[in-house]
Amino acid sequence: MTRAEQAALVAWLRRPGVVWSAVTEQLEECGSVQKATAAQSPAQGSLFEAARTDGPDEAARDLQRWDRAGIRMVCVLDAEYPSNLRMIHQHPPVLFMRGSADERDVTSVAVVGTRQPTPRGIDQARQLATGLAANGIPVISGLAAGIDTAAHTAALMAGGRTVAVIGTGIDRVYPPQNAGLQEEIVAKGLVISQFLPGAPPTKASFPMRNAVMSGYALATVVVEAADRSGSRIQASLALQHGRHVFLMCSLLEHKWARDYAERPGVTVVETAADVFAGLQRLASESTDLVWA
Amino acid sequence: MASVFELSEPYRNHLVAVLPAGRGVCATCWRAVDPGYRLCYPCQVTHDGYGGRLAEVVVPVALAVKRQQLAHELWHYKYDPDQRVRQMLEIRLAAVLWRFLRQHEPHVAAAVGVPRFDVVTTVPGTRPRDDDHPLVRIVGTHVGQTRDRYQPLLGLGPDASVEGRAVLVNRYRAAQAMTGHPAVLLVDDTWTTGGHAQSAAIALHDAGAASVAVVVLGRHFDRNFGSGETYYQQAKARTFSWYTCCLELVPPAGPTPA
Repeated sequence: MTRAEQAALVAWLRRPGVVWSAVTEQLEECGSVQKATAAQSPAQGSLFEAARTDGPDEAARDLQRWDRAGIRMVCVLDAEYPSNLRMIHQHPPVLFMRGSADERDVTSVAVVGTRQPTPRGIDQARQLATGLAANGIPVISGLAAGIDTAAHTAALMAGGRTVAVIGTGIDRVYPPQNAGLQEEIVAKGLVISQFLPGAPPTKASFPMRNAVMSGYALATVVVEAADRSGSRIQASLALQHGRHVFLMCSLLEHKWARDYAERPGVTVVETAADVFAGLQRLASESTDLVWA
Repeated sequence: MASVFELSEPYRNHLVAVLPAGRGVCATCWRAVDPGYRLCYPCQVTHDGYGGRLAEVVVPVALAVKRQQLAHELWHYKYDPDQRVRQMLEIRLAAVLWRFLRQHEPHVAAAVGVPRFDVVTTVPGTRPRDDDHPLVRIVGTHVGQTRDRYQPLLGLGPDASVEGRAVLVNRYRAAQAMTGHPAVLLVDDTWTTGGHAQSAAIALHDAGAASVAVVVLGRHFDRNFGSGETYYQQAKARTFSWYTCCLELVPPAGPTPA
């Protein structure tokens, strides 16, 4: 995608009232930013034309600034857009990335849980992430306090790959105490945000982030989560996406987890080995379909 | 090997079946219709124009709700720029079709008065492609229930490139006359107003098919259109099951959507 197209897309996303899911649809239907933006505003002239002819407008200047900060923008029309994420209906029109992409991420696992974990939960998250990393499975999480931090940190300590999908603009850190961890993940893995740089954390942004995390990973493991938690939301979203959900057996003390355990596409697990065993079947991309 | 059961079972988490036949539900396409009407407006117009040349029955596997997962998959299995995505969705949707037909083809056949369909074919895609349409691979290769009976009965007619969803007698053309008067199962991915599937059914009837039944993976559904939200909430409250299709469902006792 050319820089002019990127600038037109950023300008489009910044327009008041724009529904980002509609932007995704328009981009995919039209196949180019130029055609999609032209289709959006036939009476006012194309945004693409405006972005191309109006000189170094704000979006173009921001793109240069983001470049200098090591932030790259990947649009749904780009080959680099993660293919797992393409398969879910809640895939955003753009992703902002810092760090390195890796083909292994198609078999990655999201490890999620509460921001206020028990020592047992922390231990479970660490063991899980360490075990996954030992088997070459990238660990995806949300860089939040608690379980997310434990999972990212353990994966890094085990020498594995980890990816953080964050709920703010990629140039921000939330919670602030994870600034160092975020930079380490940039250096050794990948940080992804679906929000424009500068975007603050909001009540809505974290569930949106959970949808992208579910879509990026092959499956989600919920470690420790209360009734009303982002992790439970992610489990629900993953099932809506047709993705597999693993529940740590200790979650069965919650009614919501017992209900989920009865649903198709949900497996109760105790160890990373259980998750790894389940992944072997999920990761199959055979095109030889049999009645079984 | 990919297992039909393993690939199709997770769809139970997000598929929403159409509401049962009865008051407030179009007798052809299963969308919401004002009480007192048997057919929705597009189906009524089509019926008035073409009557007995149309499909005898239309059976959707589920609602393809706009901006939800099934609708997403039904577009991306054809058009996603990433070949891996297209391929994985193609196999998953093949598993869905196989699972559904294994259970429900006898019901669809019974609805048109035959014990079994002689031939299975697809509604041809009208957008130019470099490769075979993935629906052809699904029906003709992947799905064991249909592959031995698959025949490419239809080609594009002189009106194939006419935009829009109108029923057009010349949108499709049968490759040859069907002298044996077979019962045809016509498969399509998405039903929006039925213009393409019904145009195909007309071409099949005109070429000699004794009966034509349509099975579609998704019946396009916009929750913001008309009484869509009421219909959707009622439909969603009925948990999706592989063991029941819309031809078997008992209408609910309560009021139907306006």
